[in-house]
Amino acid sequence: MIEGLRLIFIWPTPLALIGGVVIGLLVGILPGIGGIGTLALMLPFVYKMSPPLAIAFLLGMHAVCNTSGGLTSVLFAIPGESANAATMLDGFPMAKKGQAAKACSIVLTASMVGGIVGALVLAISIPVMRAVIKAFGPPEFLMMVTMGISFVGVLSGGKPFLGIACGGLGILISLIGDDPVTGTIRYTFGWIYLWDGLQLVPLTVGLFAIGELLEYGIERTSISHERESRFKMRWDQVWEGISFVFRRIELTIRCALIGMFIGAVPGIGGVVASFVSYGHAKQTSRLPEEFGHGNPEGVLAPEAANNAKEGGALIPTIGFGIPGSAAMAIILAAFMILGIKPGPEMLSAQGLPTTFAIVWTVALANVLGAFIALSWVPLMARVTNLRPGILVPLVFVLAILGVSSRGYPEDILMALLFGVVGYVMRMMDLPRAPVILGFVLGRLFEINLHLTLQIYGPSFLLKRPIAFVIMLIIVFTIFWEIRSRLKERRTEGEA
Amino acid sequence: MEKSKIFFFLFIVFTLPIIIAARPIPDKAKIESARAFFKDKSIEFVVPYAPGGGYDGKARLMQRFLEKYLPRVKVLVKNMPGGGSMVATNQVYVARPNGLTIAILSGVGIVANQIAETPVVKYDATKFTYLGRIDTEKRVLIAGLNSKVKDLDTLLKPTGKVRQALTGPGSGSYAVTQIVLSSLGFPREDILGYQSSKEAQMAVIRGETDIHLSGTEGAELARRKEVRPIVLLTASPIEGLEKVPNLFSKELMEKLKLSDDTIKRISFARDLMSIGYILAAPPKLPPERSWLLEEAIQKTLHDREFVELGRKSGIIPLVEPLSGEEVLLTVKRLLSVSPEIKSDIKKLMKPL
Repeated sequence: MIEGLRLIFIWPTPLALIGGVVIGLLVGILPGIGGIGTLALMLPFVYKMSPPLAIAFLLGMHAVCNTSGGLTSVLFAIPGESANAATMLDGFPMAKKGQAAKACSIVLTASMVGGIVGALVLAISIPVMRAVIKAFGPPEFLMMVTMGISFVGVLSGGKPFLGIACGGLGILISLIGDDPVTGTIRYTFGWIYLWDGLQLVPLTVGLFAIGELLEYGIERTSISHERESRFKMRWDQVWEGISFVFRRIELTIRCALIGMFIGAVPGIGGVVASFVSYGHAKQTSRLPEEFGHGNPEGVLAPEAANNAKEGGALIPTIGFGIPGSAAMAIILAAFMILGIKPGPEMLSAQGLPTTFAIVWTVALANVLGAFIALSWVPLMARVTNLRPGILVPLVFVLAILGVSSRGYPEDILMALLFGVVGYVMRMMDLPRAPVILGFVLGRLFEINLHLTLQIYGPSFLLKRPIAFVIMLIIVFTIFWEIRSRLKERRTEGEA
Repeated sequence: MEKSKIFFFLFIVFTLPIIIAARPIPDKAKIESARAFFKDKSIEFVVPYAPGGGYDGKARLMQRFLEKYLPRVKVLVKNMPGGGSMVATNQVYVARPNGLTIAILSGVGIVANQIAETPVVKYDATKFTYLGRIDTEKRVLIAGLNSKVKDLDTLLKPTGKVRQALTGPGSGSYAVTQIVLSSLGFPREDILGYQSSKEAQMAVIRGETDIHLSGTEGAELARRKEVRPIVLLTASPIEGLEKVPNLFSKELMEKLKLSDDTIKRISFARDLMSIGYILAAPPKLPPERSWLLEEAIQKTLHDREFVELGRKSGIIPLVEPLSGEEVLLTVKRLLSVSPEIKSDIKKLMKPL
């Protein structure tokens, strides 16, 4: 372990780590420059580096992409990375209440703690995670996704039936594109752009950011409705945010563990991790009714999960040589160029220092990333007070940049289309978050349902005890939710 | 020095002059004017898939070397995913033929889609300006360590149905591999819907399916003893798996006593997979510009550092260059396929 740390501190490795972290933060904060694309872009630079130098640079950069991506979710409802989509559900309402600096500070601190937890668990779990990863197949994924879908009611802000309807709309949208089992092309109307389905970022930016943008333009307001703080640098809010995360350290760690675990399972993805953590935070919160209206726990949960999942995604990459995500595929190629062979060798006496260098890099990058970005927060938070004349074009440009990362004009068209849908939904007071959740989980549900039924048949729950236990948890959670709502109504009635 | 390394060395030393000498050289003045045209310009290197995959890795590996062999030219990789590589293929076909757009394309994809007359095909594969081939497609049939499939014999005479993990129905790659596996005639149950090869590999490791016909990543898993390699489908050797039987070898085909018709189908699949990963530009590219581009590409593919990086990273385990002319000839030959195979491909490329 100490040898791993020593490798990271051999000059000029710390410099590479700082360089990687700064690039990662900038990439995360600028919508439109994807973290994966930047990793691929940087790959040629590591060919001639020593393994610790390259690890520090690439992993340092990758570990903090989601950290700063959460900042644009808070400030403009534009997620820097798709995994930051859940952050805006409460982060943006906090910005509207004039608490942008506090929300940003929570984003950064929760990301740091999440990243450290992810790295620590990565360090201690590699030997056992091989067995755990092997124990999770399509039936377990199906139940995990079902658990996520059961949060639709949780995300509906007191309107469970409307929430379920909006979640259903999201699932329907997720079915656009090729059928994963038969290859049939569905609902594309002959448009090849839709073959791969709709993309998450145009959908999210449309439903939230452009919907909000239309409101600023029409109502001529700034994001923050708090007028007095206009020219203040809110360092007080920064401290408030930091201390909030440490006061809720138990929740932060729980969400980090959820993120780490989902990250470790190839094929589920970081977006699910952040939404499941969000749902978990709401269910265990003392003030669940404040979720969606600017509850800081709703910012803390997805961000802790986001950064922890990177530690998780390294487990199958290091343990089996099977990358947990597209970003990990690039990192795996870099490892192999550098002569780092994934698999059981990474746990041998020869491979352990490198393994621990990886762990230390992830942990240190998260600490460094949070400290660097925290110094930007008070200044950045001031954009929420900008006049609509400046704000609308600024957010519009950022939104367009955010959706055009793939270089397809059709993505912009889709964002504008969903912008109108988002505005109408807002006017009609329909919950928008379940649409995103349904969209993210719909396809995963379909794929894993098909695989489960093909492999295990309809009685799969009897053959897979872990899936059965997850199913029991889902039933219990739904039952508990209904019971507490009925109880609330009864109390209100009596009052 | 290992035998395979000696082979690499000789291959690199001898094939470059042969490929370059075999190409007709345009007028010297025209080449100079083409060189002047490229100076201080950017070439868009189109990749038909998202970052993080095999195509993207190959393009990015080539990028720096192309800049080395095309002085004062910037090469920018552009990912254009969608439609199972058809979005990029169609776009490159209609791009301006000025030499500033090149692409890495799937040989199997462009030929199989044209044979199947897929409605999205907006190109004629014989009209592209081909600039060369990087390597061939290789497949390894892998089995789980606890699977009933232990070797080729237990695959062909299993104790029950063999469960196969499959990805991408309707794609060219799917069609080719299904043609080969169907011709072996063992009892099979296809489990469809895995989203990528890595998920199908995990299914084999977990033991929920018996086999998966994987790309070269499967070879890496086999070398690390995470899975068992059963049979290879490759026209060229795979490092570390030299002792695994190869279905494309004449000896094995004879040993299995395959019918003439089956051999024809397997040979077609082998030829199709041999086109592999190709480099192309839009049709009607002026010959002097294509000459310059092809020269830079061939020099890249024969650069020892490039070959070594490709091998070490696993992105291009074995560089197998072909000239643009040779790629075009292979494409033309494959498109004039027999009606029986054409009908097979059409059936397999249709949604299930």
